[in-house]
Amino acid sequence: MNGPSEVRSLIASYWEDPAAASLAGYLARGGYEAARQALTAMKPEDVIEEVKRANLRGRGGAGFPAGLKWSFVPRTSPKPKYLVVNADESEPGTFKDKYIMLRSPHLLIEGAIIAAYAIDARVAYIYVRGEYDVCRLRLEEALREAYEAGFLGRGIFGTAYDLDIYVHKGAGAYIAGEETGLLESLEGKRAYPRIKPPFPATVGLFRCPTVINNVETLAYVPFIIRHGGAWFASLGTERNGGFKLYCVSGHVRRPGVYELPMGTSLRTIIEDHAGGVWQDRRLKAVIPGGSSAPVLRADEIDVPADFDALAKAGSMLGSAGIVVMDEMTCMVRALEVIADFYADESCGQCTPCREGAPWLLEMVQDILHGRADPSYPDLMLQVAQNILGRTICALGDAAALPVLSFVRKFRSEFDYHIEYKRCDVEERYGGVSNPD
Amino acid sequence: MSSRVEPAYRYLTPEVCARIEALRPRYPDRRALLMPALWAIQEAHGWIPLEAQTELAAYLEIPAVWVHEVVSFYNMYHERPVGRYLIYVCGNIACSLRGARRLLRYLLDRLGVTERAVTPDGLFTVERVQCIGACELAPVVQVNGEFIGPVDEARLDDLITTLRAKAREATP
Repeated sequence: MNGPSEVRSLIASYWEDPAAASLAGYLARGGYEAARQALTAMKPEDVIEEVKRANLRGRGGAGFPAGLKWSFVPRTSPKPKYLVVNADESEPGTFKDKYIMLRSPHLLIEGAIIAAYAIDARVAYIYVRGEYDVCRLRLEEALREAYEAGFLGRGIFGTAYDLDIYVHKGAGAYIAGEETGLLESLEGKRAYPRIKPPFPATVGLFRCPTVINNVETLAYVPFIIRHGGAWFASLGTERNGGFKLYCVSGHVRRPGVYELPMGTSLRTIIEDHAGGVWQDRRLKAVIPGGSSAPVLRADEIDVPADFDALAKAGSMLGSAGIVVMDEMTCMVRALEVIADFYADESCGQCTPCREGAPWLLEMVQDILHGRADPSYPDLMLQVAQNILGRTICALGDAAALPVLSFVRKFRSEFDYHIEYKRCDVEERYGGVSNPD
Repeated sequence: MSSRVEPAYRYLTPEVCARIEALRPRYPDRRALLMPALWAIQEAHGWIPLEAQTELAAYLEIPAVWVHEVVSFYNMYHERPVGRYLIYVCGNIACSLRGARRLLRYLLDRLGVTERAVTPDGLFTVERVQCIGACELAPVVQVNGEFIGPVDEARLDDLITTLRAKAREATP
């Protein structure tokens, strides 16, 4: 535990310094010293142990311990091993990885070098969503700088370790962010998620052992190597090490990315950091972890925003995309937007999701257009329940969970629409409501 | 005496082929070259006609269906021509909470087009898209890759005026 005693931010401290995006600026802040230390003074097993000690959990949404994931790669396999960086950030409400790639791309590259070394990968791919072309161009430039400086390529830091990192551009498909869908996409196919097991750690990219990590996960790795896993763990809560990038959007005064200790209360993030609800309105609901996370009512936000506490509160931290809704939000219409997304993005492999997600959308639309009867809310719950857990990947759950939580927690709004064929929110606020 | 006759490619120009070949060493199998190759074609021609897909299949020596199933799966590969300025309007939750749906209707009316059509002057295509990862800028649009937000009706008017002027400058 030799880290700085009082830390206010880690990754975000780089964003305050415009020079940190370039190699020169990054080196001035001690850049690539962690990678040098890992490659020249640590064995791959030691790196993995340090990351395990840090309680670094995957920031893509599932929260799986990163060190443990790395340890599953069979060291004795004669096959090549791959590191794949998931920069497909596409869960609605999430926009943090974009800032890492634009403002501190070398943090990601350095983290990737350390992770690749730990699993003995000689090639890494960064899969960047097609809509993030500005990020891709910035990364390409940063990679060029890193190659020129000898941090990538042959014999890095004078060791026998070689590594190439390539950027791969996606082309617009939410499902490509699912880790096995991403692998299929990288192989030049439709992004159909794979049945697991086998897990990617043994049969992954090109049927070789593969680790897939989110951008934010890897961007924290240099800090862990520099200051120690125990120090990183001490910054967060139990089993949730370090800091976290929270994305706040919707009806707040200051939407943006806020880096705070893991487990900061949802209320603190929204009120103190994002400036609270805009236009002096009252809070109605919060989606805490991207649009697939179950919605919370205004009275449910005194909860630490970490993986375990939010799960206990019946929702999830997911990708930490916090979407705030004010009192003028019509929850039926908000659900329509979300249901439209999952119906549109279902890849179509599994029947419950391919058929169920559009049914859910149609039912919400029937309610909004006065075509529904009073059995609809219960029917929606039933359809959602029958998708849950019955699909290859989590997109099925993602389509079902918002429906279950919106209908259960805001049932009266659904019933009102059905009975009166009007919106009660609109009636209460002089004919205006959101989304319009 | 055998001389291999190179097929005459219309879309796989020497420049496109050079871009594909530059990327080939990055992947251990040629099917993985497909997505980058499709991007190279689209960047050169603006869209990916069926004929270009057939050419690419022949060039990579893979079945044509492998190419078409990928083109038709991913939203950003264009199977039809698009305007010089492709305007993505995000319609997902963070943006629609801040008025994106109304703004989409406004923009379509303003340009007198339907979604995904090209304006008669060839300048604009408007498409509602799912979350583009810029919720802090909501409501946000993306023009040829550049994020612009938050937008309102006035800012959309300015955008159209600016883009029209830019197009006039480029083609006197």
